[in-house]
This record gives sequence, structure tokens and C-alpha cells, in this order.
Amino acid sequence: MRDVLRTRMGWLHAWVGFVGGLVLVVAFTGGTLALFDTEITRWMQPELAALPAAAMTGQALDHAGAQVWALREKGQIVFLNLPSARDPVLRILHYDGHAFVGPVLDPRDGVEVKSRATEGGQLFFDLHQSLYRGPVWGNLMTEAAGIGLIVAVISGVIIHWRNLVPDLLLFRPFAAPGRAWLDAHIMAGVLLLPFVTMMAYTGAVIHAPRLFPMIGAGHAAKAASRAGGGERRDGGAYAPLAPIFAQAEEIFGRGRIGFVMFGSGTVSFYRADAADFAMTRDHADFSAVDGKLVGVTRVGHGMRRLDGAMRGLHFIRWGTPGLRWLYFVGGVVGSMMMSAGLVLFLMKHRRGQGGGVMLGLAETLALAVTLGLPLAALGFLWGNRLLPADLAHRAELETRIFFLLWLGALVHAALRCFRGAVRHGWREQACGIAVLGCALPFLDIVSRSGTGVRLHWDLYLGVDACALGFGLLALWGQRMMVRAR
Amino acid sequence: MRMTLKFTGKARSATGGLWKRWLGRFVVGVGCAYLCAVGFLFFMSGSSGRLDASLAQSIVVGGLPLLIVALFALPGRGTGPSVLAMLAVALPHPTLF
Repeated sequence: MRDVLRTRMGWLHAWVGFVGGLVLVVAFTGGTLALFDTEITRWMQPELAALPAAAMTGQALDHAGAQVWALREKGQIVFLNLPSARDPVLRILHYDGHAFVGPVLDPRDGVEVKSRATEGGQLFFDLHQSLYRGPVWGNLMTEAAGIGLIVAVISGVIIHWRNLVPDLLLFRPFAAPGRAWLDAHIMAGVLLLPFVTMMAYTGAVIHAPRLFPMIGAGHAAKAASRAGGGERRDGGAYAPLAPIFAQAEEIFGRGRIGFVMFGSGTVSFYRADAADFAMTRDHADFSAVDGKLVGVTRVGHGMRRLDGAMRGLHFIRWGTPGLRWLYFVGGVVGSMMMSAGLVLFLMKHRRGQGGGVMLGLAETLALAVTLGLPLAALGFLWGNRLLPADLAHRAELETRIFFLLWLGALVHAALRCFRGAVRHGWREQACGIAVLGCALPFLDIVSRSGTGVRLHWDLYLGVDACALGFGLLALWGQRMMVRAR
Repeated sequence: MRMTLKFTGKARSATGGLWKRWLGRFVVGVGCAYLCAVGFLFFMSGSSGRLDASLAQSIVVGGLPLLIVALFALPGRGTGPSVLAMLAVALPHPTLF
């Protein structure tokens, strides 16, 4: 092996790709699922399926506003999420450290709809952006992994520069396992090069203040500082929200208000993330007492919208369902490409070194993130439907089920990998995914009976079809592993 | 330096040496690139530069991985004068402000 550019880039691609890849597979898988976080949350609250589709009324908004003010006077920091095409209910939300959770209100009258407590799809969002480790260290890790992904992409392009176009067409799934994995890794990598680079870059820019804390707190801190705390305001009635909402719609346009923040003496109506390509948090502030307009904050044009444009590209909240599905497919293939990279790394080192503790550890971690995470995600959905709806602390229990299953997958992977039965470990976890995924639609139908199960394309069918698809894919994968023995 | 695919004792130690050298080069390269990025950000936030914070972040995040790869690809041994030169360029930036 000569110390030449291509060899160096090979080392950089392999090691940065593997170490970063262990984090990136989690971040990419979590982000892919988080594209449909609202839909997953609704799937996990099947009681809402019985709610007839209805537009929000002024009475509902006023009633919801009164409830929020009452909660704020008790010292709680809450805000009001307005109905949208993706989530046609009112929600009073607070941040529990990982997700925005809270009661669901009927958009017709603002009365609370009895639904189970869950973190829903936001678990995957938090896993994606901070590995569920909080906004400091978690964000820092995903940020570093994002930079690592760009390094791996650049070094990968340098390695394959001469063969980029032929690699697009070359895939031999029935060749020797090493060759098939390499073909899959390279072909998916080349095909998804623009998407993966864009996602890594925009994600890294969004969380850049974590990597460079000396340059300012950025978007999140600005929004938080505007939100204010749950201050008490003694005496006096608050203006009803419905007339203020009408004024806000005149400013930003009909159907373009996303949520309402309540400050000390002010109510702020924020433009919805889906209203524009750039996520700029434009808002109109009104007096909470008489409902008069206090001021309008709009992010200007040009460079000032750059931050919002990065967020818009990354979060795709403005996108149509078709575009979101395209991102989803890109995310799934991207996760598979990274997983294939992990497998290739392990195959190469297993050939070179044989066994060893470090190799066993690497194989354990690779298996736990590649198959253990989807297994835990499916178990999370199962836990949601199997736990009683009115159980105390059920949202935390659901999350605990997810992490316990993931830990179980890690322990199982360690037992198999350190005993030299790696292939068995992969097969068994694939079987687990196949069982949980293929049976999820039946669980959905059984546990949703009484809320009006209908066989047409809706979010329930979408989640069920995806789970079934991943289950069948895992079944096929484990059969391939049996044949390749 | 040449190594065969079959690892003899000598070749294995040569691989280990090369691996450590490249790891060292990578760590130093990442450190240098980070310092350069911090220096650039301080320079741009100063009174003379005045670049929009979002734009500065976008440039830095785009440049940082490129710089890491470029430093890793530099010819010569990792701890050579090229890396020291990069450090010399990067270090004064934070101290200027």
C-alpha cells in the first residue's frame, strides 16, 4: 500500500465513515421517520381517527386561548398549535425536554379530546437532531457527525472520481457478498450524492452555533427569548383570540398562521412553517388586553433569509406530500447506503484481522444501529397500541420501551458478535423486524376498531404499509443471508 | 513503503505505524481546520468584515470539511512544516479580537 492520495482518501473515507456512520445511521433513520412526525403522532393517537374533519371555529379558538391563559397563570410555559392540513386539531403544547406534547382540542368547540399521551413522531425528531441527548452534547455530536459525513462524501468522490458515471449503472446483487455490498454502497452513494450532501450541509449549518458557540445562539435561542416565561398577570380579562386571528390572517394571508405564543401582555401569531420555502418565524404581536396590533416582525429579503432557507431545505415543511415522500425514499436509501458502508468496513477488517475485541465491539455497534434501531422503532409503535390508553406516565413508558428494546438489541448483538455468530445476530434481528413490521397492520386494525377503520389511503394505511414494507424487506434480507451461507 | 495483503509481522507493524501517522495527521488537521474556522468567524464578525452571521456560518461549514480533507491530502509527513504553517496562520485569529 503506497502512501498516495487515493490511499489516504481511502483511509479517511473508511474511518471517518465508520465512526461517524454509527451516529449518522441513527441521525439519518431518525430524520427519515421525522419527515412524517406529525402523521406518526396522529397514528399513535388513534382516538383522533373518530374526530370528523372540520374547520376551526372562532369559538374553539377563544376557548383554547382561555385555557392557555389559565395554564400560563399557573406558571406553565405553553403555546397553541393551530390546525393544519397535516394535523387538523388544536393542540396546547409545552416542551418536555425532548418533544412538544400536550392536550388535543376539538377544532369545532375547543373542548379537549380524550387521547392517549405520547411523544409520537417527535421522538424520532429528537433522535435525529440530538440523539435524545439534549440540545448541547446531543446537537454537538450530530453536528460533528454531519461534518464527518461531508468529509466522507468528499473523500469518497475523490476515490471514485474516475468511475463516477459507470458506478451509477453497476449493481451486481447476486455477485459475491463483498462485491454486492460495495456495488450497493457506491451506486446509492453516487445516486444520492446531491441529496446526502445537501442534507448534511444544511443540517450542519442549522446547528453551526453548537460547534461555534462564540458566534451567537442562532434561531432557536431567538425564538425562545421571544416566547417568554409563564409570567403571572394579575387581574383583568384577555381579549378573545378569534378577532386577533382574523387580523393576523389579513397580515400573513388566509390559512398561513401556524401557532400562537403568549407573552406578558402580548399574543404573537406566527406564520406557519409550511407557508413559505424559508422558515423565518415571521410574526405579528398584538396586545393581549385589547387585541390591538403592536408590531409585525418579518425577516427581510436576501441574506437575511439564508438561515430560513437552510431550514426550509432541510425540514421540507413547505413541501407537498409527494416531495416529502421523495425525501423519505432518499432518507431510507441514504440510511441503507451508510449501513452498507459499515458492513463493508467490517468485512474488510474481518478479513484482515480475524477476530478481536475491537472488531467484536465494532460489529456489535454496527448491528445495533443498523437493525436494532428499526426494531426498537417498530417496538415503540407496538408499545403505543398495547399500553392502556389512560395509563399514568404512558408517554415516558413508551419512550422507555423504545430504549429498552434498543438496549436489548445491543446486548443481543454483543452476545452474538463476541461469540463469533455475527451472521446469526443479523438474521435474528432481521427476523424481529419482519415479525413486528408485517404484523403491525393487523395490530392497527384490531386496536383501532371502534374508531371507524376505513380502507382508503390515509395516514394509518401509510404507516401500516411502510411497516409492512420494511418487514418484508427484512424477511427478504434474512432469507438472502440464509442462502449465502 | 509497500505492504502486502498478507500481513507478515514486519508488514503489520508498518501498517500500524502508517495508521498512527494518519490518525495523528487527521487529528492535527481537524484541529487546524477548526481554528481556521474560528479565526475566520472572529475576523468576519469584527468591525472591518461585517458579514451576515448566517452567511459566515454557511461559508465556514462548507469550508471546514474541505479544509480537513485538503490538510489530510497534503504531501509529506503529517507533522511537517505545512501543518505548522497552517497553525501559525490560524492561531492569531482568535487573539486579534
